[in-house]
Amino acid sequence: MPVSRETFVSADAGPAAVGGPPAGAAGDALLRVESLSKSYGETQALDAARLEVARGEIHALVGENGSGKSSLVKVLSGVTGQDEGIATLDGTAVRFRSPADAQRAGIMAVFQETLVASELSVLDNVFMGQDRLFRRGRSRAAEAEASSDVLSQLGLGDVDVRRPMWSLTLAQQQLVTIARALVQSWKLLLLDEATSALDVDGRDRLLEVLREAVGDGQRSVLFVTHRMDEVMQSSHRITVLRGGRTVGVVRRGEVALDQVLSMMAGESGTAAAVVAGGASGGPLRVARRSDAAAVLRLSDVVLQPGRVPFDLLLPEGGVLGVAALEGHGQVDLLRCVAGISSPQSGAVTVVRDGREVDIHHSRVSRHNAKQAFRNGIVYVPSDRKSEGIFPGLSVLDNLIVPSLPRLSRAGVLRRRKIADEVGDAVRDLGVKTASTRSKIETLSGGNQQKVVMGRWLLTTPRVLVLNDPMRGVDPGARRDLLELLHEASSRGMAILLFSTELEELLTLCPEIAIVRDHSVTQVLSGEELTLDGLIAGMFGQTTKTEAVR
Amino acid sequence: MASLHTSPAPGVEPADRGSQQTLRPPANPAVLLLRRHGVDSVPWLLVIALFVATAVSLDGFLTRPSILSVLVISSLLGLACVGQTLTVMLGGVDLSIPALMGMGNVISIMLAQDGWPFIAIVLLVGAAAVAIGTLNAVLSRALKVHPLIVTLAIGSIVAGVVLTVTHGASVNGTLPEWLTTAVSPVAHTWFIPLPGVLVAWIVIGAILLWAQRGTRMGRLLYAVGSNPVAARLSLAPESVVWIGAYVISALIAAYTGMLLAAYSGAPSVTVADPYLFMTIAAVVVGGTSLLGGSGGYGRTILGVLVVELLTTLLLGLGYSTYVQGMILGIMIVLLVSIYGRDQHVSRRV
Repeated sequence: MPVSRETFVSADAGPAAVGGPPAGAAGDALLRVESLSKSYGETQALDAARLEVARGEIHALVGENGSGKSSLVKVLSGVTGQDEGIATLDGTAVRFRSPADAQRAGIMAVFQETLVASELSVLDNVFMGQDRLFRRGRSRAAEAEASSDVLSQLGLGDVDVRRPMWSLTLAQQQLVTIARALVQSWKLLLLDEATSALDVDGRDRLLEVLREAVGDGQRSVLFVTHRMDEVMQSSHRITVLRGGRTVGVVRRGEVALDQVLSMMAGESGTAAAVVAGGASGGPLRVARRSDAAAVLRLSDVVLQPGRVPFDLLLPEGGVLGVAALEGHGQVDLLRCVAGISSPQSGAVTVVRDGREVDIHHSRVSRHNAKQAFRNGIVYVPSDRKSEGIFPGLSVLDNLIVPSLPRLSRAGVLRRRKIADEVGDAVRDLGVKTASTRSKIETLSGGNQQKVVMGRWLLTTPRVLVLNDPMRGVDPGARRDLLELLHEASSRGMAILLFSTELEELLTLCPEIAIVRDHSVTQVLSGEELTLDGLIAGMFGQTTKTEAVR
Repeated sequence: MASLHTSPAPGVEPADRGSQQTLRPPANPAVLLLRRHGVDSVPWLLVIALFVATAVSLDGFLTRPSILSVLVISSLLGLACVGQTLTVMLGGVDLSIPALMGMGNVISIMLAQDGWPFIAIVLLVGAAAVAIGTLNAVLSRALKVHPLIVTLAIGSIVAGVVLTVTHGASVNGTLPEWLTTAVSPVAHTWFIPLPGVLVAWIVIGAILLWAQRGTRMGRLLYAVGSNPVAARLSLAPESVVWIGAYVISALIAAYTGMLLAAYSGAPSVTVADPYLFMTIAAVVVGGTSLLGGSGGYGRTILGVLVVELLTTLLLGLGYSTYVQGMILGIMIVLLVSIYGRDQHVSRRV
């Protein structure tokens, strides 16, 4: 149920209502932003937005894609200037001309894109920007000492700081960019989707570090995220943006998640019914198909030398979730199934017309990927920007690439057929776009992800392998994507879904495989499907249910 | 600007920007075009502006022979640009084009001198070009080296081999007469009152314009150029696309070299050296991004006309080739900054 606009305003924090964090100094704002506006050409990204961050507070900034969160962060971090409005930091009005300007004032920003120099060492990346032109800011030893606490708190204690940056996992790289901000002296830390590559463990560690940092009652953290569980767990207060305006400021605990979501969605209220409470098994949960014929079978698969072999089975129309901490081999598993990489040993077979076809029949991985595709297995990659979309090309062109052989005759495109199929797909997927000729980057992240998924649905696959498809997608579009998957499975498509969003796995999947140490250690189903059970499994703890077995 | 709104309506505050805009007289067509199509209209406007400027500055430019002679040199550059456009759209580049043109130029004249039948010369040059184009693509892909280096090296090798075979000596020979008339501005092609090279450009250009939109290969070219990783995951036949683009590039460059032999009359491996800069200039001026995945041959046609009209104008005004090069360079820097800026803004919004 959408909440009326008046409700937000009354829930809004006037000076009297501004509480600091439970322990912090009340009423003392570190950052105050008044009627901030910013437009890009005809797009009004920020329209008199307001924001107030108290000292010692962890403040969350939420809103759907295009609500102006990123623009606000860019203005506050000095990446762009504002058109109108005032920002006050520590009581003095500030206007930043560059990121360096903002940093001198004490605002450190970390962005979603892991901005690293991949050839330099971890240490060099942590202290990047602090050196003079020809001389280090301080000695290597001093740097190592100064960063060791932060790095070990973030879970990077075991990583040799002399290693080149490229040898780290994406999550580790993201943690290094956060460490880069933490080792400097700051008053306000901005995290713009900076946790998107982290798993549950990494996020928990980071939140612990942040809580400790703001514990002095002086410093504050402002974070932007699409992960509503993080928002509800860790923030003291939440500012909600919609269409460039501040539509509400709420304290954690005073409102429920679905209220925040409906504030974000506004009149349409589409996000209101979202994922909240998915753990209890929402209406989207797919039925378990234990009686259906197997479509995909993994037997005695070993992903890396010396790891435990495992079996997996995916029935027709079944949905198998995959849960894992970062770097435990879940991506290897998905890529093996799609033929993109090969397992050490064991067989991945797909059942077609009653016959079992070996996907890894060739030594050339390209041939195996083709073999998988021919047998109806498709892989939807996770990193939309680098592996998913074709920037500069239209929605139509983005949709048809893998289907081109079917959609052309003797190399010539069948334009009418393409227009029909693409039109249907855009409608069925609910892609919000002005036209199928619009460039893909004019769409919001969620709609881009729908197009990437639609690209594969157009090939009418039998097995859909998805690698973290909800990353960076706003809650409204997440619901749409889950519904799409639900519907695809009801049409008999089998789905193998890895997601770092455990709530969403629990919402959709009747069975979830836990991947740990490059092997499937458990397959949870029925009563075992709880958030605690998943997390325990991912951390390698034995659950009660397993003891019963 | 002041002259545009000299008499504001009474009662309108001069400070009110909104009302001032409504008082402006209707913008001229160029401004309207710019507003509607953004930087995409820049090459169109340049072609029109340069054509008008040339017609005004040079007496007798608006005659059939002189316009046709501009179109003949444009055809030669346009054909040489086919491969440059395709490879740039892939995110590559083909720096071996001038060497291939030099090869077509020298080999055809040398073999004609030796009395080879013309059809055999065409087949031999074609076969050599296919081999060299394949080598360009395969080496770039297999060694994972940017085609910039690979094609530069291959071009150097080709030029060296041709020089060795011909012993560096200049060769003289007569090409078939129809080839010489093909590049004569006053010639006819069958019943068409246009020179053969122009007809060839029109036909090949039309095929390319259709193919880049209407065929599977065309769409794959854009996809692979836009995001090679996503293309690989979409099971696009990347190698086929690369080999295709470089083979077409080499083939058309070699045959254009034969036409150039007929045009220049003095066979030399280095005869096509200016085409290294000119082909890239025309592609860039047209607005195809060197990063790949955008643009197309239509833009290159405009870029070719801009480059050749500008050259004609400057030549007609008596400027040396040095000044021509300088002005072309300035234009490229200006255009690239306009194009780059547009992309930047659209990415931010």
